[in-house]
Amino acid sequence: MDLHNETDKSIRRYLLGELSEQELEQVEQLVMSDDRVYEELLFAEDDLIDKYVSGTLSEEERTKFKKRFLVVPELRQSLGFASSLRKHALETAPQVVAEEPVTPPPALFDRLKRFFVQPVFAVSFATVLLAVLALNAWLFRQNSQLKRKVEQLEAQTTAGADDLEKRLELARQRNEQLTAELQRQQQLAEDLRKQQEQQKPPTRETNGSSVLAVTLSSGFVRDSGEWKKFSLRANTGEVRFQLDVAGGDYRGYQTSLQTIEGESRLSRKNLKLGTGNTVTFIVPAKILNPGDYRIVLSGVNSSGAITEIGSYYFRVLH
Amino acid sequence: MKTTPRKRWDLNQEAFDELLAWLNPDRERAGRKYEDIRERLIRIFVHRGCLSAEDLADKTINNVARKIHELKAYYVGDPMLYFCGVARNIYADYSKTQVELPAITEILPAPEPEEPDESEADHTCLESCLEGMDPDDRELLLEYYREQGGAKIEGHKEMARRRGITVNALRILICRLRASFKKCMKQCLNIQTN
Repeated sequence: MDLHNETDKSIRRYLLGELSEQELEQVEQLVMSDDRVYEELLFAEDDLIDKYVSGTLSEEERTKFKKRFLVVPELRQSLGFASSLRKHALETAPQVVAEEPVTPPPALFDRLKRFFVQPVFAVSFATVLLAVLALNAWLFRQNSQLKRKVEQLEAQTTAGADDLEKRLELARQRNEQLTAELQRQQQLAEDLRKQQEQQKPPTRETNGSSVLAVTLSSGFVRDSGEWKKFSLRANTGEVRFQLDVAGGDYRGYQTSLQTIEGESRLSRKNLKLGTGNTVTFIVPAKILNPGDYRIVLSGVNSSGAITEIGSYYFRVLH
Repeated sequence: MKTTPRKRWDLNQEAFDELLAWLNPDRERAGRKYEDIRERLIRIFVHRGCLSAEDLADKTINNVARKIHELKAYYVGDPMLYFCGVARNIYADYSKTQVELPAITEILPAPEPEEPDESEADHTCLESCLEGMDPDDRELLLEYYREQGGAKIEGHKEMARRRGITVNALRILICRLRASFKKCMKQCLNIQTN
């Protein structure tokens, strides 16, 4: 480092022509053989020129510099370039704006206060504030209306549900009434039909011959004078007896047609209970001569036992 | 790199080629070495106060090249030092021719040397050479020259800090930019005067 510093000093003296011949030769040998010294020579040369141009050389250095650098064309040219370059650099330097005294930034509240006390901003702010208040009032009103509507809808929904339940109940009751009425009407229709049949035995045509339907009720006793009476036409092929069954639970029924004297004319087994709790017993018309007859109805229970459950009397007229 | 002999080169091409081969077997490197030797010789003659340093540098190289055949046979050591020795002899001869001149200055006091004025050509070349530089390099060089007075050292430190380099690295960088600028200016002014 000391050697370098010594060399640097020697170079500076070399440039200003202060070295003896012997020292001069030593420096020149270094300039030729040592790259660092050569570079330092170039630096020092430029530095000396810059200092001269910027006026930072001492008077003694300045005098020595002039004797060398203003005389030798090579150095004079370098000085000229440096001078021009410096002049150009200063001419093209960015303008420095004078800085204003630095004052601490005002607090946020002060800044806001200062902002809003400006007339133009105060009027603008008041306008905006009024607009915001009006908007709030409108929104509040809208909100209240919406709340009322929602409440009404909720009330309507509750009332609608109650009403629906009531209507359903009414419909159910109405349905029950109608069902009861229908059954009553059906019963009436059945009763009427039975009365009609009792009063006028119905007939219907089957394969060119007619079928006479006769409904008989149990209990028509021989002496009661309430016998079922009917006539047989020439074309009557058969008589269909509908025997009312009073009650009992039987798996099947048997019938037996007898004259009133007790002579059996026709028997049927394995008959089933039909609609209206009746057992149908079909008798060919040809075996029914005018006279009084009795039909004995027996029930067969689950064990196979046969029980007489009713007698049905009728008279065949001429 | 193509290297051609400078002015006053009156030796044959064979001797010149032999000189380059002596400086470095690689011709490219030898060419750079040749240019380097010439620049150093010019600095030496310049700081000896010679008015035609370039001519004296070329004369030195010619003298070495003239003896290159024999030189290769007997010289052992750094060729740079040999050039330095020859330059000293050349300067000695040169100084003999300048001996009579100071007598005139003793009769008539030498006028105060004037600082160089910037000519129109200088200004044109300055603009041209700066324009040809990389923008960052140009700004760096100009910024370096803007610093002045006592703030210059601190200013250069700040420049180096901003670029993340040492002050010495900045100095080297500026030196190279300045050398490149000077070279450009010389070439430009040669064209302008011719």
